[in-house]
Formats: sequence, structure tokens, C-alpha cells
Amino acid sequence: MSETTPTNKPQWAMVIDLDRCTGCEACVVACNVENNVATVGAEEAAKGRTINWIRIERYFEGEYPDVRVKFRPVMCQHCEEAPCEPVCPVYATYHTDEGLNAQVYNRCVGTRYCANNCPYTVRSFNFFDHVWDAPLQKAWNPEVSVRSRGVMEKCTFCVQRIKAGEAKAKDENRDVKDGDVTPACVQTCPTKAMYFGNIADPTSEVAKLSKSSRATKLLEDLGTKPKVIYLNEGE
Amino acid sequence: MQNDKATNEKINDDLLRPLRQTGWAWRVTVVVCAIFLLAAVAAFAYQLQRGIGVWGINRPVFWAFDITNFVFWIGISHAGTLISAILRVTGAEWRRPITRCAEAITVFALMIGGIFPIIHLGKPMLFYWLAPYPNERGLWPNFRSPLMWDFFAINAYFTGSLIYLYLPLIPDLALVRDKATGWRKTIYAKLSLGWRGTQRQWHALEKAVQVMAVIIIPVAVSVHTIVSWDFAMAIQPMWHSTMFGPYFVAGAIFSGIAALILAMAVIRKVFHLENYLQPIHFNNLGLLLLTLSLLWFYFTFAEYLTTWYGNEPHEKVVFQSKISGAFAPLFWTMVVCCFVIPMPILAIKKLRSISGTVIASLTVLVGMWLERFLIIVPTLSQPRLTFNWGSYRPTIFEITIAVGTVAYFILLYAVFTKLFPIIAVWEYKEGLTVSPLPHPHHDPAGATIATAE
Amino acid sequence: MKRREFIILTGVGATSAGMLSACGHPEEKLIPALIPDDEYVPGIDVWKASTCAMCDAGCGIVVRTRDHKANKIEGNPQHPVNRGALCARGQAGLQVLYNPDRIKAPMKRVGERFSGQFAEISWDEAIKILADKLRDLSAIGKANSVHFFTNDRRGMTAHIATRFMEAFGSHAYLVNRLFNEDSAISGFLNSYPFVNKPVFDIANATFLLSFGARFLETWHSPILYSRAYGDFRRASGKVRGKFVQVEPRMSLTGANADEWLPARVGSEALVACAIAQVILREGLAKNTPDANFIKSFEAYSPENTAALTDIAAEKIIRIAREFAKSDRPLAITSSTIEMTKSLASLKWANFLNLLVGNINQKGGMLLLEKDYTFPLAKLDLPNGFSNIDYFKFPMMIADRPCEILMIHNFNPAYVVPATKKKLKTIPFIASFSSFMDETSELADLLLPDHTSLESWDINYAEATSEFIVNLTQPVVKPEFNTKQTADVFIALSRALGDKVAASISFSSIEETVKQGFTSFAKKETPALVKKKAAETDAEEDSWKPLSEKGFFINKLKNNPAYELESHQLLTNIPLTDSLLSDAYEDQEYPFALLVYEHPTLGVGEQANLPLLQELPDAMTSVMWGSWLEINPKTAAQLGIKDGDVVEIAVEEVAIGGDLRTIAQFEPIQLPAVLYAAIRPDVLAMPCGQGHTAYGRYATNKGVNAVVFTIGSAGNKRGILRAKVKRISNENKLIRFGTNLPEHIEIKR
Ligand SMILES: Nc1nc2c(c(=O)[nH]1)N[C@H]1C(S)=C(S)[C@@H](COP(=O)(O)OP(=O)(O)OC[C@H]3O[C@@H](n4cnc5c(=O)[nH]c(N)nc54)[C@H](O)[C@@H]3O)O[C@H]1N2
Ligand SMILES: Nc1nc2c(c(=O)[nH]1)N[C@H]1C(S)=C(S)[C@@H](COP(=O)(O)OP(=O)(O)OC[C@H]3O[C@@H](n4cnc5c(=O)[nH]c(N)nc54)[C@H](O)[C@@H]3O)O[C@H]1N2
Ligand code: SF4
Ligand code: SF4
Ligand code: SF4
Ligand code: SF4
Ligand code: SF4
Ligand SMILES: [Mo]
Repeated sequence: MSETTPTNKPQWAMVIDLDRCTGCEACVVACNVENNVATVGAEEAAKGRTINWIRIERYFEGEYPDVRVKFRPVMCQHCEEAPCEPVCPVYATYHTDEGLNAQVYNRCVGTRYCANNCPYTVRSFNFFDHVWDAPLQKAWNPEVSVRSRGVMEKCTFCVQRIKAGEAKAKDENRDVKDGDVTPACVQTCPTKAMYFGNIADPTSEVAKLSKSSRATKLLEDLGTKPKVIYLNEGE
Repeated sequence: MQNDKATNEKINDDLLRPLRQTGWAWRVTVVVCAIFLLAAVAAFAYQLQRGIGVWGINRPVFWAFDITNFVFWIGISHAGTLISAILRVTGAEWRRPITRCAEAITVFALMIGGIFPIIHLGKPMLFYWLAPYPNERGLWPNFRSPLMWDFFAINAYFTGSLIYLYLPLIPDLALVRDKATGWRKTIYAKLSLGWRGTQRQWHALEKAVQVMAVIIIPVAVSVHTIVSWDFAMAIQPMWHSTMFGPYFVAGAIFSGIAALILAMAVIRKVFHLENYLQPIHFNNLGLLLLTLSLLWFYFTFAEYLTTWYGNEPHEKVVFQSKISGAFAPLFWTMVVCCFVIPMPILAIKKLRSISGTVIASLTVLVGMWLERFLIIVPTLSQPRLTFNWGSYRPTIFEITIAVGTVAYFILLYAVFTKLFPIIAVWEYKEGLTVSPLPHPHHDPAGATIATAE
Repeated sequence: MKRREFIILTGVGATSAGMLSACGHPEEKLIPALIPDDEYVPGIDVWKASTCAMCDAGCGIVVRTRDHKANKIEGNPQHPVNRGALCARGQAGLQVLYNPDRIKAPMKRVGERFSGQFAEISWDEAIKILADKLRDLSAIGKANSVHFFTNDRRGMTAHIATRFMEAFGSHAYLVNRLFNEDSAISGFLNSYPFVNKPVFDIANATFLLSFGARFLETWHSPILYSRAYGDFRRASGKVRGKFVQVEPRMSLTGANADEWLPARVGSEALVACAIAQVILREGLAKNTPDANFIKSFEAYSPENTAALTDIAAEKIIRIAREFAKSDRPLAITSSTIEMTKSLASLKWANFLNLLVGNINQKGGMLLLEKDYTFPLAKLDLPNGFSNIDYFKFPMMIADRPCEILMIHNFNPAYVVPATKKKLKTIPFIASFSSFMDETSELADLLLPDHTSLESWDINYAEATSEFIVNLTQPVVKPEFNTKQTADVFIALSRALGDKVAASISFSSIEETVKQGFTSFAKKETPALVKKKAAETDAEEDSWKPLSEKGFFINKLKNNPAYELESHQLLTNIPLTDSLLSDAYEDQEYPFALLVYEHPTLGVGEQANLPLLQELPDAMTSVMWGSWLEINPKTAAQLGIKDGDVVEIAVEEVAIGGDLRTIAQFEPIQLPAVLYAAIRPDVLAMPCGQGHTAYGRYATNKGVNAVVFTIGSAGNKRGILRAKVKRISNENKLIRFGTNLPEHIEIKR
């Protein structure tokens, strides 16, 4: 699949501490607002066509009274070996040299092949054009394009914030450092369960946390090399 | 054997009759099919205007009827060119009356199958972005995508099949030209490329047909292998199978033969070609269908057994849903249609009659459509992260388009039979000279007795 | 420095404060709210500080605006309540401001009464209509038949309204929230010599024992306690805290616990009591009450109460030991179990805190200064304002003559559905709601308020060990032709003249808020003012830096009183009075029903925000509707499958001494959710849906569960018993994810 060329560019990654995450879904709404993610309405939602760049998966384990619940925030894992990328016939989804799985809306023709080949089911499709009843659209983030009907979309790691953070670092003539880039979901998380940064920089928080003994990756055995690292619950 | 003038004329008369006379059955068929086709076009127009959301697809089932139909029609296309090529290459003499009607199936099925990758797009108007040329930013399409391979494979197969249909048509076009008058004559004259029937021309034609037959076989095999790779190259449970290539090719030929048998039966009845399309042809194709039914069963069995035995959790979930879960009714219908019904019909000589093979073919077509559906939808509706499981139900739009394509196919076929001899006249005649196989003897009353050897 | 002064509405306000130094990212760019147009650079982001109004917690926000449009709300990184974080509701705040279903201008009724037909009028006309009405009533000596209700607990509206109403000759009422901790906590505190609400240092606790407190979702301050929870789990250098939740239906909070104890409904106090007993008899207590007192509840040992609580004695004993032996144990309680026995559980949970000696300790229960009250409450108001509990509202308006009803930020027709009939007997209703809600539909005059992001206000944050005064200021110009209610009162007072006009001396709410903050800053934070003034090289401008920051902070002292009295306390308070639950069994109504507040739709106020309607419920994944939770085994017995439509019939049993009042409710139908984490004898359903008005996103979604909680039992809420039956298998649930377990066992 994608060749990983050595690069001195930052390699963006996320760490999610499942022990801190409460499943509150603040991140979900934050992402929706930051990225102009559409609400599709009750009828479409009933058909399973909501658009979600991040979701909180909830699993019940065990039987009453010994029930346990697990929450797991799942967004695009920005796989280094992303199965969604090679299958796209028009390069609408591809890998950037900063380790992002990028999605170019105006190149996408809507084959939905990428979504079928994403083992994490994190891709959402615009089955229709969405309406923001006026004046709701005034809240659109001007930095993020609004997607039209027929294209695929998904978490971008808030690329607009990455660009802004990198520009700031460049202005100050230095490399990016922790705190330069904070995606909307990370920023809002009440329990501070999420961390974001340059995993290629060994001093970064994500680089350190990724070495934790609690660190795992989702469906790691598929060889997708996700860039989202989960820290398991427990000691 | 001597090919006397009377027989010659009789054959010409029989085989070109559909071009001269138009029966009511033909008219009704055309009108009915046109209505269904228009309905499908309207459905598609509505979809263009509103968005692909008018279909029942969702997250996670992003593909359903669209790709099922695509794979199904590409499969049907294997009836023609491939079978006719194999029969030609192996010199099976009984092929002669069926090659053209097989080859026509290929071209039309490909035309229809090829529509789906376009109309299933979220942005169908941008289908040409899949074409291999650099866009305004100098960017080529992604040749790593199996969808691109599809593009090439299908185009190659379609071009090849068109040529392969066209080449043996030339002498017949010339024949029609000679018998036609007025504007028809001009058109057929153009189409027959100045065929005079010279020795050199015959020689070149035979050569070209032979070469094409050899070329088209690997192309056809590759086409359905590549279609299967749309799935097998993906990493989803029960898609990622090394066997999908041969499994799909076998399935394609299986459904293709069934389609061919059906087409032959209809042509035979409608155009009164009982003399030409004889029980022996149905018998032979029936035997072929039987072989493929067994092969299908073998492949299916091998595929599911390994999945079951491997017990890989995510695969097992999909497996279970087909065997005993939500998709079980469809799955077992498929098994019945592809194996349980056709197998005995085709295996027992007495049942392997024209009507027997027609029934078997009908069930096979249903079964093979279901097979494609069952490869796509259960896998997609049960992705690895169980939180995201979903389900699928087609909408009226998908159903209309599916039905419309069947109508379209029949329509194309009906029109084709109006314009071109559906049985290759020259090939048939040639067969009479060399054939050790039975051919019709004509008594003065015109009744036909098929003589068995 | 003076400890406390009053903020006077005419301008002077003060309280001591410690300021945080400005640092970090977005707030660097904060600039004052009202930027003259010529300072606006198109395409450049401008951040403005204000306060989240989506619940009472009082989180600080900064709003990103560009070209006069607000496009993102973020937590104010400096704010001590939320430190940059926001909850799902806070994140959705812009959909209040830009909601398409806002009332866009003042309106008067044109059709029949209650027909919901209105026509736009000018503000002058609207104010004239109301002023004329008031004047007429006053003239005939019926001024006291005018009533104003608001549930805006933290802002200045109630104070200004009170002032106006008092001068006019009537009352303004502040409607208390009901499921509210306040009433229960004050009940508890009344039995102790403190008056302040405690704060719980969850972050530093090592063992957290919660009796139904949904501190991660609702409760006092969701973000504050969520932040604390994160550190409770994983602060560096701290052991991972253990968390046990006692509640009959696992809430989102309970879902995060290490252990879930599904005690029988109403038996929480018994569980706490049994735990206390183990701690005492095993000598694990830090503070020991006297022997007689211990005797008084000896009967409620874990062994004796196991049958009543449905929790095995061994489990109680183990948890009691773990709790008491843990470094920093902490017990907390919900308030809504008020429905059954919340006061008792509250007392008993806090008794546990006393036993393990965590009061005013790190990781413990913090009791703060006695006079921790909102400074605005100490305005020069003649009589203060009157509080009423919202469910007493129907009686209030029935009890006294009511010619004109003015309603602000309160929706009785929805939250107390029984009121609707009574509302219709009132001759004139004026609504200040920003939305056409159920109550506004009944109104004769609509005077739409600004939403919070367009308003000026001073309010305070809930549940912090520091005293925080928040500033609410407009982040954009008013989107529609609305007017802040405080300014409507000013205009009304001018129109009425005389005494009434004199009651409000300031000319606008904006001026008041600015002056209050400015004078505060001058007095209390000269350093900050100077620094910022130098930076901006303006002449001394103290308002600007303050408005950039958005809040003031003042560390409160822990209450020293407790230290002296704790031992006494342990022995003196009778705790066993109401311990045994008023167990009530009814064969016909075999289930207990829990009605709980939806974590994001809240009491229904947020049901008009599409972002939150389409946010899957964290526990059930349901969107755009309501549901009934039922244990899978129970459901199987009743032949109910996930998604089936069921009918639930409810009776409310209020028990006072020997007296039992039973009220039956109209049955309602809704889809069932098989919920693995609920007692088999319990059903639960969320509030927040079932609006019949309130805009396109809220209307006709689900059912209003609150109908069950306000019974005929009057001002005492009783126990809810329910029965349920399957109606059809029509699946009406709109679900995001499946209800499957993660690992599916497949038989070979
Ligand atoms: N259905 C239901 N009923 C309940 C509860 C429940 O959970 N569900 N809970 C109970 C509890 S605990 C409580 S505290 C009470 C709460 O009772 P209420 O406070 O009456 O409940 P809300 O629905 O929050 O009503 C607030 C109303 O204020 C209006 N509003 C919204 N934004 C603005 C604004 O910016 N300015 C102005 N002026 N008005 C605005 C809206 O019209 C909204 O309907 O309800 C009780 N009743
Ligand atoms: N996010 C958010 N926060 C809020 C609000 C909001 O709307 N949204 N509203 C605010 C307001 S107005 C209020 S009043 C508070 C309410 O906040 P809480 O006091 O936390 O009240 P509820 O949310 O109703 O939660 C009560 C819990 O008690 C359970 N319960 C009911 N009866 C019993 C019983 O007999 N025993 C036990 N053990 N449990 C029982 C219910 O199932 C539910 O889980 O939250 C405030 N905070
Ligand atoms: S905001 Fe944080 S705690 Fe809440 S669900 Fe998202 S990751 Fe978990
Ligand atoms: S998570 Fe899915 S969409 Fe994201 S990079 Fe991996 S395969 Fe692609
Ligand atoms: S849906 Fe768009 S991004 Fe995905 S594979 Fe097709 S063209 Fe590429
Ligand atoms: S990183 Fe940005 S785009 Fe991705 S889930 Fe978080 S907020 Fe959404
Ligand atoms: S807790 Fe309350 S104040 Fe804080 S962000 Fe959430 S809704 Fe707003
Ligand atoms: Mo409340």
C-alpha cells in the first residue's frame, strides 16, 4: 500500500486514554461544529445515514448484575497503511507526508469503495445535499468547506488547525511543538482523555504515551498501522 | 455433403425471416420492455436530481443492488464470447447455430453491466474522472484501485467482444445487403465492409476469428477475476478470499450459460427456428450447465467450509448470518436455485429437455443474482466493530433500475434480432459441409425431422 | 482588603479576587465584545469571552467570530470551572443563537386566544401594550394580581424584575429547579450548622462511593466534576482511584464505575447505613460517635439489610473495608432520589464522610464559608425575591388573583403539563421566551429575549471552592429584533413613571454590567488593570481587560466551624428517622419507574437543537426520540423485544405517615430499549422530549416523561410504580449503533 518515505515533517497522531474517557460525547459535538458536519434529520438518521467523524462506541459486557460498559471514541485512525487509500480510483483519499489520511472532497466521485474497505467504519457519505435551516449556517466554520451531495467525508485530524499551528510555528521560526495544534475534540474533552501531537518528536506527549504499557491500537492485527493509540483501562 | 441450392435458400429464408417480418409478440415485447426501461431511466433521472440517497444504501452498507447488478451482468456477459470462443477453439461443431446469439448476449450484458459503475457513483456526472487521462492538475487516476482495473478489463472485453461479434457477422451482413434494397442496402453495404466472399477474404476472416477467439478467452477470464478482486482486494470479512477469482469466473460462466439457454429458447419459439436450435443444443448446454452447477457447488462448499473451519471471528459472524441468521432465507434459496433444483434436472437425461434446461436456467439466474447480493451485503452490514452493524432494504428506485436493466437487455436483444441474423448463416452453412453432427432434413411440406446419428 | 461588599445595580460592585495571569492560546486574541465596525478586519478571527448559559454550572467560554458571525464556542482555558473544556451542550450553543425557530420580533396575538396566531409589532408598541395593561390594573388597585416568574437563577433578570415588581406593588418569583440538589442539600444542611453547599474534591479522592450521583452528566457542574474524574483516574503521581456507583439503573456516570451495585430503589440510605456499620464495628472509623448513637442503627447491619437492599452482605462488607481503608475515601449522593429517599441517603452518605474524616481534607467533602451567596442577591432590594419550587407553580397561580402573568425562561406548560389548564384561565399572559415554546403559544404578548450570546449579564459559577463571578456579554450583534428582558423592564418602568421609574436608576443592562465590572476591577485588581492598560496604551481603561477575561475569582476559605464541631455532630444528629424505605408493593404495578434527566437534552430546553437531537444517547444510541429502558430478562418474560412499542401505565404513591395518596396517570406509548444494566424490577425513561411546540426540531419527538413526576400528590413527590405491556413490534427507535456486546461468541 502506501510507501512511507522518510520525512522530517511532523507525523500527527492521537492518544486516547480510555480510563479517562467517560463517553460524554462532548468531542462528537465539538467535531460537528468545528467541521461543519451536517445533521441529516430524523428520517435519514433512521436509515443509518448520519454523518459522524467521531463516534463513541459503547459496549455492554456481562449479564445483570455484573454488567460493565466500555466506551471508545473512534474517528479515522489515519492508518499508515490505510486500506481506504489504494482503492480510491481518483486519489480523493490519499496519504500526506505528515501521516494524515487526507480526503479531497472536490475530487471524490462517490464510489464509496474507500468506506467499504475501511475496517473501522469511520467514513460517512453524503447521500443527499444537506440543509442548514437559516440562519443555522451562520455558524459554519469558514475554514472548512461544506460538503456537497455524493462525496465521502471523515475526520481530518482537524487539518485546518494543523495548518494554522504549523503556520504559527513557521512564523516563529521553529518546529511545531505540543500545544501548537489542538483538534476540536481534544480541546473540548472535559476529562482530558485525548492527546494530540507529533509522534515523530520523541519529546512529545503522544510519543511518550504511545510507549505506555497500556497502549493498544484498534484492530492492530490487520496491519493498518493506525495513528490513533488507545490507552486501556485499568492499572 | 452436397449443399444444394434449395437447402441454401431455405436456410437463408429461415434465418433472415426475422429481419423481414415483424410479429406481434416482438412488438409487445419491445413496447413492454421500453416501458420498463423508461421507468428505470426516470428512476435514474430522479436519483440524479435528488441524490443517491433515494437508494436504500446506508452506512455501513454502501453497496447493494448497484454492485450486485454490476457483477451479475458482467457475469452474464460470459455466456457469449467466452463460450463461443471456447467452442470455436475446441472445434465443437454443434456450436454453429448458437455462437452469435451467445456473442450478442456478451455485448449487451456488458453494456448494461458497465452502466452500474457509473450510475452507482455519488456524482455520476463525473464518471469520466475514472478515465485514464491526466486531469487539469496533471493527476492520473489511481492505478492501484481495482475499480481502475475494472475500467480497463471491461473496456478491453467489450471492445474484444464487439469485434468478435462483428467479424463473423460480416459475411451475413453482405448476405443481407445482397437481399436488401434502398437505404437498408446502403447501411448493410457500409457495415459489411465490402465483403465479396473471395477466397482471400474468407481466409482472412477465418484467421481473424480464430485469433480473436484465442485472445478473448484470457480477457474474459481476467474480467471476472478482476471484478472479483473488487472484493478480494478489500480486507473485509469473507471478501478477502484467494478463491474469488476462479469462483467468480465459474459463477459467471454458470449464469452466462443459463442466460444463453433462455435466450435460445425464446428465439427458437418466437422465430420458429426449431430446425436450427435443436434439443441437442439444449442438451449439450445443459450438460455444460450441470458441470458448472457442480463446480459452483464445489467452490461454494470450499469457500464456506474453510471459513467455518477457520473460525476467524469476524468472518464467522458473516458466515453465520448467511447460514442461520438474517440472510439465511436468501442463502438457502440461492443453494436451492443454483444446485438443488438444476442439478437433478440436468443430471437426469430425461429431464434435460428443452423445458427442463429452461427451468434450470431460470433458477440458476435467480440463484446467481442472489449469490452476488449475498457476497456484498452480509459482509458490509457486519463490519468488524460490531457497534456499527447495520442492515439494508432496497427502495423502489433500486428495484426499478434492476428490473429496467432486464427490460433493456431484452429490448436490445429484440432489436438486434430485427437487424441481424441471430444465427450465423454462413457458419451454419459451413457446418453443413463439414458437420458430422445432425442437421435438419427438409421434407416438401417443410416439416422438420431431426435425425439422430 | 475588605472581605465582601455589595454590587449595587447602579454600578459599584466588589468582591475580593485573585486573578489568573493571562497566558496561552486563543485568549491572547480576545478582544472586547463590542468592536466598532471599523476595527473589524474581514476574514480575521476575533475571540470573545462570555459564559455558557446551557446549564447553571457557569463554565467560561470564548467564542470565535469572524465577519460578525460566531462560528465556534470553546471553553475559556483560564476559567477555573472548565479550563478550556465544554460539554456536548456547551458545544452546541451556537444553535441556540442561530436557531431558525427563534421568535424574531415582538408579537401580539391576533387570532383567538390560545390559537397561536401572532403578528409582528414594534418594541414601542409591545411595551406600550404591557405598560397600559399594568397601568390600568394599578389604577383599579389590582397591582398585586400581576406576577412575574423566571427560572434564570444566576443572572440579574430576577433582581431587576423583583425591583420593578416590588415598586409596582407585586412580586417576582424565581422558580427553583426541582430535580435540583439545592432543596435536598439544604435539607441536609439544615440539620447541620452550615448553610453552604459542599464541594467534593473528587480529583484527589482515592475511593469514590456514589449513591446515584450523576456527576459526569448532570448534578452540580458536569465539566468541573468530569475534569476531576479524569484526574481521579489518571493524575500523574496518584494511584488510580476506585469508583463504586450504587444505583438501580446504570447511568452514564455509573457506566464509568469499577463496580455497580444495583440496590433496590429507595434503599440507598440503607446501603450507606450498613457500610457505616461495618466501618464502626471493625474499628475503621477515624471519628467515632457515641455508643448510644451507634446502637440506634445496629439493627441495620449488612446481614439484616441484604434482603431489603438486594446487595449481598459480603459485598457490602468488602466495599466498606475498601472504602474505609482507602487513603482518601469520599461519598457523594444524588438529589433526585428525592423521589424516594434522597434526604436519608444524603444524610447517610455524608455521615460516611464524617466517619472517615474527610471533611475539608484533600480528596474529601469541602464545606465553605458560611456566607457564600451570590452578591447580586444582596442588592438593595426591599424584600429579596421569592423562590418557589417549579412544581408548586400551578398552586401558586391558582391560589392568588392573577390578571397578568409574565413568564421568563420558564416553560410551565411543558415542564408542569398539569398547569396548562390553569394557565388558560389567566386573562393576559406575556412571554419573554426566545422561542415559541408551549407556554408562549398560550401567550397574548411575546417579548422575545436575546439569547445569552447576545446578552449582558453577571452571574456566578456553581460548585467551586472558589467564588467565581462570570461575565455574560454579547459576542455578536442581536441576530433578530429581540430585546433583553432587563431592558424591557427599564423601558416599562420609564413608561409607568413615578415610583416605578425611580426603582431602576440605570439606563441599560449594558451600562450596569460594564459599570459593575469596572468598579470591581478598579478596587480589587489594580495590578491587572494597569498591566493591560499599559499594553493597550489607552488611557486607563479597566473595562477592556476585564471583558477580555470574562470572569473574576476569589478563593473561599474552608469553613472552620466544622473542625470544632465534628465530633459533636457525629453523635447528635438523628439519622435513623427515615431510614426504612416506605416500601410499597403493588402487584398490579410491579415495577418502580425512574424518570431521569437526559444528559444532553436536559429538561427539554435543548430539545430544539438538531445537533443534540442527533447526538446518539451515550448508553442506548437512540437519537431523535425517547424510550423506555427495560431489563432483557424482564422483557423476555413480557414478550417485549428491542424496539417494540410498549405501553406504560403509572401510578404515583405519596406516603405521608399512614396516609397514602395514589394518583393514576394516562398511559403512554413509546419504544422499548433492552437495557442490560437495569434492575429487573425497574423501568427507566429519560426526560427532555415530547414537546408539542418549541420549534421544528423539538416538536413531536418522543414523549414527555415528566408527566409522571408531577402527580396529584401536590408538593410531595411520591413513588412511581408502573406496569408495561407490548403494543406492537413496529420498530420506532432511531438508533446510531447496535446494542450488541463487543465480543460475539459464535458456536462452532
Ligand atoms: N419534560 C421535563 N420536565 C421537567 C424536567 C425534565 O427533565 N423534563 N425536569 C424538571 C426540572 S429538574 C426542572 S429544573 C424544570 C425546569 O423547568 P424549565 O426551566 O421551565 O425548563 P426548560 O425547558 O429548561 O424551560 C426553559 C424555557 O426557556 C426558554 N428559553 C430558552 N432559551 C432562552 C433564552 O435565551 N432566553 C429566554 N428568556 N428564554 C429562553 C425556552 O422557551 C424554554 O422552553 O423542569 C422540570 N420539569
Ligand atoms: N447536562 C445537564 N446538567 C444538568 C442539567 C441538565 O439538564 N443537563 N440540569 C440541571 C438541573 S435543572 C438539575 S435539577 C440537575 C439534576 O441532576 P441530578 O440530580 O443528577 O438528577 P437526574 O439527572 O435526574 O439524575 C437522577 C438519577 O437518579 C436516578 N433515580 C431516580 N429515582 C431513584 C431512586 O429512587 N434511587 C436511585 N438510586 N436513583 C434514582 C435516576 O435514574 C437518575 O439516574 O442537573 C443539573 N445539571
Ligand atoms: S469528550 Fe472526552 S470523555 Fe467525552 S466522550 Fe469524548 S473522549 Fe470521552
Ligand atoms: S481509519 Fe479507515 S478511513 Fe481512516 S485511514 Fe484507516 S482505513 Fe482509511
Ligand atoms: S467515495 Fe470518493 S474517496 Fe472514496 S473511493 Fe470513491 S472516489 Fe475515492
Ligand atoms: S480530530 Fe478534528 S476532525 Fe477528527 S474527530 Fe477530532 S474534531 Fe473531528
Ligand atoms: S456544564 Fe453547563 S455551563 Fe458548562 S459547558 Fe456544559 S452546559 Fe455549559
Ligand atoms: Mo432541575
